[in-house]
Amino acid sequence: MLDNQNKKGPIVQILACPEPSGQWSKHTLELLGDAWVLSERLGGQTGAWVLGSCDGIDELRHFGCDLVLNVQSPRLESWSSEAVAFALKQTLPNNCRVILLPADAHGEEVAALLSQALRGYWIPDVLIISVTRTGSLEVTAMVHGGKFSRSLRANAEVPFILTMKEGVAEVRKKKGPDFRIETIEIDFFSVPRLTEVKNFMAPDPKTIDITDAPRIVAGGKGTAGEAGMKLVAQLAEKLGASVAASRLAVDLGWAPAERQVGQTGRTVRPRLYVACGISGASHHVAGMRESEHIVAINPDARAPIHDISHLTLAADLHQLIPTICGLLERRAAGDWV
Amino acid sequence: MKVFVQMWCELDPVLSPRVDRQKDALVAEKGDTLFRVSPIARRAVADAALFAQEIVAFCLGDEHRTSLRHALAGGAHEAIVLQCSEECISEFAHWLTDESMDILIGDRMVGLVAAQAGWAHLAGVEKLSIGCRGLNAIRNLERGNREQVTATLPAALRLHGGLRAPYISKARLAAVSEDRIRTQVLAGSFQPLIETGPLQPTRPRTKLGSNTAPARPISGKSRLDALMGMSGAVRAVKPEKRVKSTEELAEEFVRYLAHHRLLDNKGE
Amino acid sequence: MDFLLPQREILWNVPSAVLTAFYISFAFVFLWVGFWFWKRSRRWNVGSSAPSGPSLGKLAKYLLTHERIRRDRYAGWMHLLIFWGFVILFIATILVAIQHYFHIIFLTGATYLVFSLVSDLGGLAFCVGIAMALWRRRRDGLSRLQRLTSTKAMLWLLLVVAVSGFLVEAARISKDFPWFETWSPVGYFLAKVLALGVSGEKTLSLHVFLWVTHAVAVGALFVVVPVTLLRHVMVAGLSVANPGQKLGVLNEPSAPVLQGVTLESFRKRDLIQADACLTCGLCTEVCPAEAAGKPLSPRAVVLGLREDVITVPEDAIWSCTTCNACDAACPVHINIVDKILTFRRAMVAQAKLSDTVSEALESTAERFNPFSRPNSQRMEWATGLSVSVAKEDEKVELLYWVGCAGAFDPGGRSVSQAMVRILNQMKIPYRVLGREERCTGDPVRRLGEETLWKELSQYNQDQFVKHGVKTILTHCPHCFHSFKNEYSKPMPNVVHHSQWLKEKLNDGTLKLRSKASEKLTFHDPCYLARANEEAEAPRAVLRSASQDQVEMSPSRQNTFCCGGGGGQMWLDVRGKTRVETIRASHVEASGAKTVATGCPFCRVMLEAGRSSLPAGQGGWRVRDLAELVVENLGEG
Repeated sequence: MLDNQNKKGPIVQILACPEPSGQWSKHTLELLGDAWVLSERLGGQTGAWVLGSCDGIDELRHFGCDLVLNVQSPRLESWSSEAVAFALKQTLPNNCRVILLPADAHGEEVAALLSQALRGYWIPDVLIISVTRTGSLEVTAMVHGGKFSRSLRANAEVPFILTMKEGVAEVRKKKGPDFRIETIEIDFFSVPRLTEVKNFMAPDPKTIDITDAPRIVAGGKGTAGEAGMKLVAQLAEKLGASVAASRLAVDLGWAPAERQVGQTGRTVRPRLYVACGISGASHHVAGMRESEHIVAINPDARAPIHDISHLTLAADLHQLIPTICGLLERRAAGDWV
Repeated sequence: MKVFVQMWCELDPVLSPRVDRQKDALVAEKGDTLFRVSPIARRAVADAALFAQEIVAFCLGDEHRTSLRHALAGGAHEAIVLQCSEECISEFAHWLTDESMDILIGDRMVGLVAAQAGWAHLAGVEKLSIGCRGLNAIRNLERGNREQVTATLPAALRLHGGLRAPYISKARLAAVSEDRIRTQVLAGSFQPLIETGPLQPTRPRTKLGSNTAPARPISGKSRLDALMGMSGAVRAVKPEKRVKSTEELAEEFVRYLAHHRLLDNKGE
Repeated sequence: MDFLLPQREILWNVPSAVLTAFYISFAFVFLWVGFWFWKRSRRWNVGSSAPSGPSLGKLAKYLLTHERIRRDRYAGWMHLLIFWGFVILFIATILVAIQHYFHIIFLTGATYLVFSLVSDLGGLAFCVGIAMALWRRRRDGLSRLQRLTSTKAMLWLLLVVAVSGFLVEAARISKDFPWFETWSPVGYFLAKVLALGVSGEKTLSLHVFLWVTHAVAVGALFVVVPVTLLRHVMVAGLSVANPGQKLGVLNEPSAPVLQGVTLESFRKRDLIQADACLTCGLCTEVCPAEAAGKPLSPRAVVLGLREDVITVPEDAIWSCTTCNACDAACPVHINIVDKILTFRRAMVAQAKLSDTVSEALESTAERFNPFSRPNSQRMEWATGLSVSVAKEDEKVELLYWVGCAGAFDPGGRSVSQAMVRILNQMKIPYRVLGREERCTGDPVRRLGEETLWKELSQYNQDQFVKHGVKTILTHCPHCFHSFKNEYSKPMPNVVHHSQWLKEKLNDGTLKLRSKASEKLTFHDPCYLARANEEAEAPRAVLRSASQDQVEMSPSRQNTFCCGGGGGQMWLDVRGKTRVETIRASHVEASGAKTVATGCPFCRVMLEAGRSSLPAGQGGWRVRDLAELVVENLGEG
């Protein structure tokens, strides 16, 4: 346990993970948001572990973080869950009662290792963390694939290690009055090298499988051919998205078969699905209805796609897409907020 | 190569059953079968069958017994119902060591076993193969990001949840005889650290904090659906009567994306 | 020999040495043919056996009527001439042999005259038939015929045999020109021609030469029987005598399939049929998948079974819609769909399935419907309608079978909702099974999951027995076909809604207030018109419901598939175009403003086909019969 001068060390800690681009992931900011609310209730501070060197540490202060524990070591250059779990254990603040980790492969490996190391309790798929009137923690966790939940209360004073899926917690903007960064170096010689990352495989939106793509722009009958599909591709490029197509577009040769979305094609669940000139027939919808954000660009207000879209834009893609691209360019140039 | 594969049954994701508060259990609607064999457990057996000499399928508790038939039909050589609770981690680790396990594939529990025994642990695994210094795998980090990783043996793995399992025909299932499944008891004590509340349907979180109002009001149901990861039939909020110009619509689009952090900061 | 008495000396002028050589070489020839047949039948016997044996009656009837062959008029005449010509010549040879070897002289007098005339005409017919066959195989002739060298050689050889036979006769006649030989008109005419150049001793040696030529040609003919299309003479009869189940009904495999395809996976009948195939290509010509440019060629599937190592591409197997057009077209009653299903069962056993097919099968296994919906939602389609579900112990006279499409597919729901409106308006007592319904099993059976189908059919039959169902009314031809022909007996009476509506319109219990005025056409579902020969009932219903109908081409028993059968709702094998697009173009060509159909799958597929037509086309709508009746029902 870290022996730091500030006896009122963070009571809730998160593991902050940057995206490959260097930006803080939305997931990280979400965890920070919930951590901040929780630590307020518990009357303590919010801390974040940052592993290795990182440019954007300062940004964390705007999202609820009070203290950053920046652990530096050559061992942390590439991901190793056993090293990370060791680092977390070695630098755990005295008062820390709750540790929030992202529920992806890295986070859950660390959660398993850490819970054994700390003899703590790992609760996965957490939905809500609240504090009872007596001051004990009540965690509501999802079971059965998320449709149901149970609430769990702590019996003993063991640290809770919680993993949360992306999109559950909420990002909160809050400026921390005193924000500190502590840099710590740790010796990892006692940690065996059980797993090693050989190679990071970043997806290229142009070539990755559409079932993996986090963002998709799809074209249908409304694109009316090569010209329209070119616009779809342009928008996809601006958004760092992959191109997909409806069955009709593939049949007419406007897109290759592996980009077909639908009941007899691929089923996709991206964060963003922009349907351009797609009517939304049931066999197409069956392949993309689980997308997190669905935007429909279709001038026909009665097209069934509008029933399932989160954002509806009743316009012709041939006019709208160039306007959007222009706007995105201005935004990138700092010309529009 | 001896591979232990955990088998289990899960709630059919298509169903929305009720909760019986008396029994603290799920109740199926008439005509529905509540549970199905987990596809990633079946996938684990199929993947192991590509390189393992011996595959031992096991399940924790009698309620998952049916999944063992699928494991045997899918290529497992042995099937064991383990009578123990998920908390018997050290007993389980000892048993696996005694049985000369090389690779363990299962659900979250295997991570705890690996931590206990000091074995390598990988989650989000796709594409598993044996290399010269242990095993090679691809670890899925979501959103298309992946890593090529290696791990020493023995190792405990969790497969990525999005993997599909090959179909096992009814004829193959019927050909598996019930007496190939044996039962084994693992002793172990367990001290609950946690007091567990009743099972209930997941309710959407109430919004707290400020600065989180979305650009367009989104219905509670869609928030719940988004939470569940199932954006089903969502009624978009009725658009205003006034016809918007192309510029206005383009702005709406960009603002929506920016708000939900679907745009990189560079706007690229 | 008495010149005045019509007869002739058999084997006149043939030296005994030649005759001996003839007998010896023919002995070898017959050994060769017998050896081939024996070797081949060993291969056939590797297959599993069929429950029913061959029927000579079927074969005889077929040969007499030439039923399927005559569908193509040219082919009909061609084969009748060849077949009966050959039979006549063959019988003639037998008679001659009897006279010669048994020393029973009966080919004399009037008998001989008739014998001569008939044989000559038979030979002439034969030659004309062969010439017709050769003509069809010219370069710009019928394209579906393969231009195999062996077939052409065989045809020319047959012609040589016939012509040389005539020439031998001519040479014989030209020696003395007996008066009665005018009863062999062709021979007599050719003799006159020969006599122009050859006479006296030369005639005799010419005769021997021609006789030897003829004998050699016949010998060659027997030799090539096993290696050319001629083998169908030996094998096709076995196929025709053994037709298996009626059209559209799948044959059950002899044992559950647990592994990949081998020779043993097929039935003896399948392997015989592979050898019987004429390569005529009629099956491929009518195949809708082939027309859409998919990799399926029914002919190639059958011929693929001849090889030592059976390799048929997986894509070909998954392209099939099981419309049965190929089985209906085959002149020698080859069951092609059965063979495709044997492949599919093996692929299911090996899990060589696309994701969408796996999903459909798993969903049917777990939730009893292929649409991945909870079984408990089987009555959602009836929200707002008054539909009674059969109670636990209730006896049901008329059961309305909703089916999976009728319950879960938007297009299918339109049909079931229309049907209950009709039933309710007519105040006819009926029940539905609601959550007690499980998938009929047809899609999974035709995808190759035989065991799952058995389980589902057993369960459904138990429900029928439990409720003492007397009549099942269904709007889906696939369910209709399964219940009527594939479920094990005994089953209640099964009626398709087109038949039921026709009955009710005829007896006046169903009255329509109005008639649709726009031009209407009917798309015959494969499993109604082709497999169950029901094309009249829907048309009778439409006549009551509309003023102006046109026929599509093709239609009725020759209907062109909509592309939805055989599990195709969950499959997608790429072709140049789509089956439903082709059928939609037929609708377009008919000029109709509404296409009526009697199947929920057809309804969905035609709609999809309509939207895939080029811009400016597709200005018509798709409606089920029940929906059209409701439109014209008026107030109740």
